[in-house]
Amino acid sequence: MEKIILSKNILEVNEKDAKKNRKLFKDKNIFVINIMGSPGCGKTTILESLIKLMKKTFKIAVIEGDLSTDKDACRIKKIGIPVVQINTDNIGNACHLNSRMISLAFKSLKQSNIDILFIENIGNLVCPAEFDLGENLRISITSISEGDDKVSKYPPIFYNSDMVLITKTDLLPYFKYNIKQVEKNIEKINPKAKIFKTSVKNKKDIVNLIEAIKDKIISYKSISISNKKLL
Amino acid sequence: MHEFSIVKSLINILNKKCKKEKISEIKKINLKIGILKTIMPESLNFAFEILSKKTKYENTKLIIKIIPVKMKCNECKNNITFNNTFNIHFLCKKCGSTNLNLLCGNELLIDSVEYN
Repeated sequence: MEKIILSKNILEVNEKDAKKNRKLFKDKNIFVINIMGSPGCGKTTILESLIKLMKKTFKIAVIEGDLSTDKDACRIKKIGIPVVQINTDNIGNACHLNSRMISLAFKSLKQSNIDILFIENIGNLVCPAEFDLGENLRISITSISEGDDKVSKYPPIFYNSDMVLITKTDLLPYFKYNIKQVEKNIEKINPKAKIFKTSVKNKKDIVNLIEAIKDKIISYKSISISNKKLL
Repeated sequence: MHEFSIVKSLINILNKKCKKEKISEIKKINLKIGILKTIMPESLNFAFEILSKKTKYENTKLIIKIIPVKMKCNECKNNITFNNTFNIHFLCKKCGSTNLNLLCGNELLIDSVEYN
């Protein structure tokens, strides 16, 4: 029997597409944020809170991902932000967004001079972890109402994130939730991730998160600017 | 995980390879899957069984090698291994550093194919 060594990544198609996206966003000086988490963990709600405060300083656009409906895109539209909704129910109910979908959605946004592109991924605590979208910042979310065992049960999405939000902290009095253990679990699998405990009812939490995101954007843009200076 | 779409990607890659190398029948596909990929081998086998029916891969054997997480501490050079994701901890137990280099455990590779 003959044998050929391939050593080929099965997900190489998405990796190549992600590389293309990353270059496109870099050339246009757009900072891209991928937000992931279970259905109902608070992705859209926290996105609304972030955008309402950040839109004064930054030109923002959003790509929303869901199996079906444009409910989330409508919420973003109400804040006056350009948004496009990806529905995967016509492409086999895909459980995650991939780079190709992002590339097509971005083209349909037809916006220039965007500072920040938020991508709200499909509600799913497993698959989005595997798919690079060409983003600069990965934020994953676990909420109080989901229980305090999600980080240890679903490591990959948290292992792959730059920031982890523990949302809906205003519900702590009503749940048996060991928040210190959740923070320890996050630190165990991703010591480098920044952890934020948030409630959208607490403006300080949102401001805190915005400051951290701003720091990331500033370092990204200064790298882009200094690259341009070299040319 | 979405084992069906992974098998579809696998078959696309193999079709291109078979065309290029003029291979008519593959006997074995050797995969390497890291434990960080949350892929269930049983589901992958099942998806392959379904998607290979009535194709040239119908009688092809899918061999899956599960790769543990292996890391090396960049500070004290200690080697760390995890055979499953339960209680995985990215911390060097020897020196307490989190400055670790992931050597393997995150792959989803077609390692090799065997044919006549």
